[in-house]
Amino acid sequence: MGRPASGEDAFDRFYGATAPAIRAYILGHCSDRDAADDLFQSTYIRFLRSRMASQPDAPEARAYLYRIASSVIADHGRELQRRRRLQTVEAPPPKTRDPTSTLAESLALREALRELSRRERQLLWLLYAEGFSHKEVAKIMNLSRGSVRVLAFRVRKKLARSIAERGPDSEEVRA
Amino acid sequence: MTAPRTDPQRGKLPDEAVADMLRAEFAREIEVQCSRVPGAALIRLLAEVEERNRRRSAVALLESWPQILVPATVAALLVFWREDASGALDALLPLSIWGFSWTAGLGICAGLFTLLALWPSHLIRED
Repeated sequence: MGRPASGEDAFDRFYGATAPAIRAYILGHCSDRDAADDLFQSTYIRFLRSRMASQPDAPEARAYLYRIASSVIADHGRELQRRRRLQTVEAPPPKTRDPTSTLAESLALREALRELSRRERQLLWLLYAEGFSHKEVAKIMNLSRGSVRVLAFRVRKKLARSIAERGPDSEEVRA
Repeated sequence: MTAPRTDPQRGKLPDEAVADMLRAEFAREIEVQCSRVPGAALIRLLAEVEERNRRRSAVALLESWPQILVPATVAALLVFWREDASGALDALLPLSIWGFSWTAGLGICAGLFTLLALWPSHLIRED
């Protein structure tokens, strides 16, 4: 794309600052690593095609990137559902897991996180991994600010209860 | 990871402790990904290839639509001239209030369609 070298530098800086978080975000919603890699690439390709590509230093660029990633993940989820409906007899694809994440699988938090819905995990990530404000999260997730606040409160409570209920396993987390 | 305290009364972890745990967990997940993301140059290259493919398919579409449109226009004209004789155009009476000359109108439309259809493919071939 015919952007000047300085534009490429700006994108490279933006990419360096956001790529690990975006990849982790996508992997949190998609257990198939190959598919996650495709979604990761699609996210940045769509970003580069957007008007925001010329101003990656803009403060709203990060939130915009997350909006793209969320939309890409949602599209992928719908596609998987459609395929599952069409191939009801076919066995589900084998899950390739991140080897480092398996180390932490025994942790109560990870187990509790897995029990959450896609939307709930998305909300937690945007709030606690990215530190977005309720207003920004509302914009990314197409919700009202009030809904974000209520949902965040409920999810935190749910998570706390889930961790506490794990009994001996949660001792590991508490220690 | 910070050690969250449980509330012995209700068996729940304090809200802020959960938030701390989440921050630590997510930070760890991001750190793991730092060495696994492809370079920015690769992503830019992929975007360029994608863009080129998109342009190519747009050109293919431009080249293919006259093949459908021109015969369709000619066929529509033929049908019109045949149906005109049988008075089938009475259904279009409201439009004829304007006193529009259908034959001339359709002739002009067909000419414009053909022009529009051939123009982009002609341009593309000259490229």
